[in-house]
Amino acid sequence: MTASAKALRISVGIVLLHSLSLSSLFSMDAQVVYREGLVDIDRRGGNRIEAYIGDEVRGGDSVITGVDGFAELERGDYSTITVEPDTVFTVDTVGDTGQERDVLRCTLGSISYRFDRIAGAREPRITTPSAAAGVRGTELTVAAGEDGSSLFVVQSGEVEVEAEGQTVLLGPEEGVEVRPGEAPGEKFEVKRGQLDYSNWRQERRDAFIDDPVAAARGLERRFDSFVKQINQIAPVHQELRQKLKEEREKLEQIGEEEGKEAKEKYYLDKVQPLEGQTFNTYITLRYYAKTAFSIRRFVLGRMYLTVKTSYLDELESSGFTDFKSIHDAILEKFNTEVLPHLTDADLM
Amino acid sequence: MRKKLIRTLCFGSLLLLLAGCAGMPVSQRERSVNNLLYELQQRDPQGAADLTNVPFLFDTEVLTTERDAELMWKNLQDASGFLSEAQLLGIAPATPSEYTRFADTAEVRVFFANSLPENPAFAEISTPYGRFLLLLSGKKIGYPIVVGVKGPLK
Repeated sequence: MTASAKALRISVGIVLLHSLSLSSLFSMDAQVVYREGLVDIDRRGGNRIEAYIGDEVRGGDSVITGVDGFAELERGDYSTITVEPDTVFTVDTVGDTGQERDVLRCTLGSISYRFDRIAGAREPRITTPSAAAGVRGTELTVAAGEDGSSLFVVQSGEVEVEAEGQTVLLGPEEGVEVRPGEAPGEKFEVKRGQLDYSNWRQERRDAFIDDPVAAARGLERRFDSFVKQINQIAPVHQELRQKLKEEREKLEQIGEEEGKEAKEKYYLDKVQPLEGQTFNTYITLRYYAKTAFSIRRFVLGRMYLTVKTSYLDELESSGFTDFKSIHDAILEKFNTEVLPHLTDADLM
Repeated sequence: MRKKLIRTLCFGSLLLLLAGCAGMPVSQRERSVNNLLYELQQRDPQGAADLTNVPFLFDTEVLTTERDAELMWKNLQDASGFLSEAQLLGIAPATPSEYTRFADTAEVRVFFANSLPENPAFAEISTPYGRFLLLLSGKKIGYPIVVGVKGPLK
């Protein structure tokens, strides 16, 4: 592995608790610079509007394209994102190595991303329901299928794709497919313009319809991995919050007993770093909760719709009941373990 | 004189009846809902999706894309008799507090509280696959819009 690749290595499973600079509280916005067909912006908080050229896509917002929709977005770091038809794409953030990092989440459909490296800019992480990728100076296309699978194809630069604790380093004209709940597959060579992403999406759709139970099981494994992360981080966050509360009480006490100067020193030495740590764990916890939610809503939701309406005259058959039991199990875990970390605004 | 009074009363009643119909949103008018069912059956899936609000509910799920709406109508149109034999059983206005008629979940509660278009109504239909609940909305003219489908009801 090259040095640059090592630098790019992303591990979804590791939570790094460092102080967070307040200047990076807000993720980098994107702006709609081109659109065709039906393109909506689903604002965090539930206000869904038709997208127009010049509209901003802010952290937590999703771009949702119709079957004939297409959009091009530009970000302040001169990176460009093209959002293909029938795609759900979200701009989000995660606490990562002490700083907030942008995450571009393609939950359904496909996006192409071109990042022009400039000094000081930090590359985002790109995620799909089944994998995460760290990028640098890269042009790549990411597709997310209806069965939760994803496809990463690099046109230039390097990308390290991580899923289920295993990574694959992709160079120019290389691609890899990742099935939900599985490690990345073998990488393969792709000549520019050779791969038809709509064909790939159709293949994944057909595979899902052929065996919805297998697809649901894979999605459940991936969902479980996010629930596991949530359950690891939630107690850490709770502990930090409690500690912060105690330290703030102590701070007030020091102010009363030892004066303003002692209070300021205690704040800088003890309270401020703890505030950063607490905030960072909160951002990370929210990232995993929102990722689990996007899998539950966009991928599981379409799976359920497809299977139920296809099996309308055989709802008692094992083909449907087996799928339904996995669906209900994911829903149960969502309601008990993910939902407490989301707000009503997230659910809109 | 008496004849004139009767005529005036009849005319007044007719006006009141017409005003009453015009005041009722299409989502709560039996004829409009039957017209909607006919249109959903006649149109192609994309045309049926045009009569569907996005986002919409399907049982416990909140579906958010145009493709979801097309997919639902394609499969429901393929289900023999689902639309062609559908019979309207009843219509009633819907309120946010009645979200449990769809699903008793936080997502459906939030959907009912924040994403219901104007004049929501429940319409219950019978189909060869059992009874289904439709969540509709609509203005005073045109077709009702489908905001949710649930079923078969137990």
